[in-house]
Amino acid sequence: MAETVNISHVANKIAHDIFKVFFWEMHPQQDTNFECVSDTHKSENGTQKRTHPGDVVFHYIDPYLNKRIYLHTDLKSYKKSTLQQGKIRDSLKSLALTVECAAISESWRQKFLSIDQEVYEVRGLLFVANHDGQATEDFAKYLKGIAKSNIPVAKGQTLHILGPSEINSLFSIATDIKLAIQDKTLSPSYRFFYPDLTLWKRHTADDQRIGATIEMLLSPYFILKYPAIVEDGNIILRPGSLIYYSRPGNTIEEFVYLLDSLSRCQLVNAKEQIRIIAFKQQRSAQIKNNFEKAKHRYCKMWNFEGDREAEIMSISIDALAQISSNYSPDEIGWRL
Amino acid sequence: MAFMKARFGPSLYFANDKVIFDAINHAQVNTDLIRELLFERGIITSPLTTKYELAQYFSRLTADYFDHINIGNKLGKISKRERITYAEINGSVTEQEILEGLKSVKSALESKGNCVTINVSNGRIVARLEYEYIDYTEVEFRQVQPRDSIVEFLKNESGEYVVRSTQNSYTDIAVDQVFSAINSSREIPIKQTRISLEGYANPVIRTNFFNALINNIENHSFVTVTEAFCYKPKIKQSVDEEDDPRELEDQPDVVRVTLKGTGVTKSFVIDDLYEKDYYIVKIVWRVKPTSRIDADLFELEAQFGEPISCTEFSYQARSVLICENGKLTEKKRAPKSEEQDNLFRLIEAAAKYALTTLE
Repeated sequence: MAETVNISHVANKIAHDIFKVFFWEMHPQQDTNFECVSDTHKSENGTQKRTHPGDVVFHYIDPYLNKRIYLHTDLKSYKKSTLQQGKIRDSLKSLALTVECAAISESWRQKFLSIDQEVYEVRGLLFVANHDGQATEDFAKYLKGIAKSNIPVAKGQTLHILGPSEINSLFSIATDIKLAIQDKTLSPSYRFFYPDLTLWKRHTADDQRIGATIEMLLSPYFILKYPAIVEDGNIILRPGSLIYYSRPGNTIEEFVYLLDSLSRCQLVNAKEQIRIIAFKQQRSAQIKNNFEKAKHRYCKMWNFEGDREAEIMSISIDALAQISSNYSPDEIGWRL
Repeated sequence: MAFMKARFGPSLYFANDKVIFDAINHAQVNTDLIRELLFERGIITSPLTTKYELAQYFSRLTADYFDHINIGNKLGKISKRERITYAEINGSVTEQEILEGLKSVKSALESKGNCVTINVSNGRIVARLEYEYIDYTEVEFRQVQPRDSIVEFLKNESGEYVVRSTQNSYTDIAVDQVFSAINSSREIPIKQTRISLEGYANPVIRTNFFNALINNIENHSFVTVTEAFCYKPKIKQSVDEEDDPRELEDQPDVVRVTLKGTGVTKSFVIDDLYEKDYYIVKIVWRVKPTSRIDADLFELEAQFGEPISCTEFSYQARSVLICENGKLTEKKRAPKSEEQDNLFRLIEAAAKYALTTLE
C-alpha cells in the first residue's frame, strides 16, 4: 500500500509539473490495477494473469480522431546501474497486454471511464525517468535495439513512450509556458493549434482549449495560439503564436521549410506575432544565423517586399531560457 | 514535361498530409519505414496494423523538413547514371579562356539558385553543376530531384581541348552557354564538333557506324552485342492517303524494334530488319581488355538521342561483369572512375574512327 501511495504522489507531481500545462486530465483513481479478462494472458511463470497493473490514467480529446484518448500509464525510473534493455522490453510487453485487456474490460471501464457514451480509445504510455541523471541518453539507445515486432501490441492498438530526454524537454517547455504567463509574454488563455488538414479535419472549435495530443508533443514542432493581453485598455501583448521547435537548427533549409509551413497554416500576418522557441539542449550555435538567413532566402524566393517581407522578418527565434538538465519526479524504481 | 529551375518559392514546398499519405502509401515504401518514422516519435503500433492504416496515422502528424527529406530519399532517389557526350573544339582555345567562360556561366547559374564548382587539376578543367530537375508529372515528393552533372575540358592526344559532359538538356544548354561566353571575347569564334550521322540518310551506313564503333575499342576485343535498338522513321502519309478508310490495324507501321539477348546483331531477325530499312540507333555491347586473359568484361552503351537525324550522340560504361577463373559470373559492379575515364576516351576515339570509315 505504501508503494501505491508513493506512486500516486509521483503521478500527481508529474501531472502538476508537466501535463497540466498541456491540458491533460488525470483520473483521480489511486489504485489502477484491474482484472485481466483474457485467457491467453499469462504471467512469467505460466499461470493465468489475474490483474493488470497501471499507475495513472491521463486523458484528452484528439480533435482529428474526434475521440477521447486514455493513456493507461506505467511509471518507471532508473539509475545508471539499473537500466537494462530486458526490463524495458518486459515493460513494453506487459503494457501491450494491459492495453489489450483494458480495451475490452468492464472492470477497466468502471474504474476509469470518466464520461459515459463518449467514443474513446485506450493506449499505453510508458513513462521512464532517469532519477540519478547519469544515463539519460542510454534509454533511447536501449529502446532502439528492441525488436518492436516482438512487442505483442494487439491489432489497432498503440503504445507511446516518453523517455528521460522527452520528459526533460516537456518539463522544460511546461516551465517555460508557466513563466511566460507570469511574465505576461503569453496569455493564460493559450490553446494548442490544430490546423485543418486535407484528409483529417478538426472536430473541435478553433478556439476550444483542448489538450495537446502526445503525438503533438513529440512532433518536430508544435504551435500554441494566444489572444492579446489587455490591461486597463492597453494592449500589453499582441495576439500571436508560440512555436516550440525541437530540431537543433543546423541548417537554413529546415527553417525555410518551417516558414513555408507557417505560411500554409495562414499564421503569418501583420496583426499577430510569431515567436519560435528552440527547446533542445543540443542545438547549433548557428541557429539564430540560420534562421535569419532562412527568412531572407524565403522572402527572396517569393519576391516578398514591403509589408509582406516585414511580416516574415518580424518572426523571431530564441532558445528556451531554462532547460532542465534532468527532471525526475521521484525514485520510482522498476516495478514489474 | 521536365523543367529547369524557373519558378517561384522554395525548392521544397511544405508537404500537406495528403501528399505525405500518398508518398508513404506508395508501393516503393515498405511498412518498416513508416513504423520507423512513427517509432522516432515514441509510437509503437501493432505488427498487425496495415500499411494503409500506418500511412494514415503518420500523415496526420506534423512533419518537417527532415521528415520530408527522409521520405523523399526513400521514394525519390534517382540512382540512374546519366550518359556522357563529347565535342571536339574547332579552333585553339586556352585554359584561361575556358576558365573565364565557365566562371561567367557559373555566376549566371548560381543567381538562379544552382551551385557550380570549378576545379582544375592535371590539365583538366572540371565544372560540377548541382541543379534541381523538376518534373510536375511525377508524384509530389518526386517532382524536385536534386541532380548533378559534369562539364569537363580535357586535352586529347593531339593536345587540343575537347569537352566531355553529362548528356541532358540542362547540361547541353550550359555547355552552349560556356562556348558563347568564350566566344564573346574572341574575334574568331570556336565551334563544337559533335558525332552525328545527320549527313548520312542511308540506313545501311548508319548501322555500319555502330558496327565500326563496337569493333574498334582500342586494347579491347569485342565480345557480343546484348541489346540493339532498331529504328525506322514513321512513313509519311501522302495527302491522298490521309483519307485512307482502312483501320490503323490494317496498316502496320513499326517504328522501333528492340532486340535483347546475345549476339543480337548476328541474328536472322536483325537481317530482316535491315532489309526493311531499319537501322541501329542504340547499342549495348560487351568488350574485354586484351591485356589479360582473365580480365573482367565491360558492358558499354552508345546511342543517338535523336533517332531520326542521328544526332545527340551519347554513351556510358554501364557495368563491369566479373570473371572468376576465366569464367563469366553473374556478379556485376559499377565501373571505377578511372575505368570510366579510360573507356570514355576509347569510345570517343572509336566513334570518331567509325565516322571516317563511312566516307
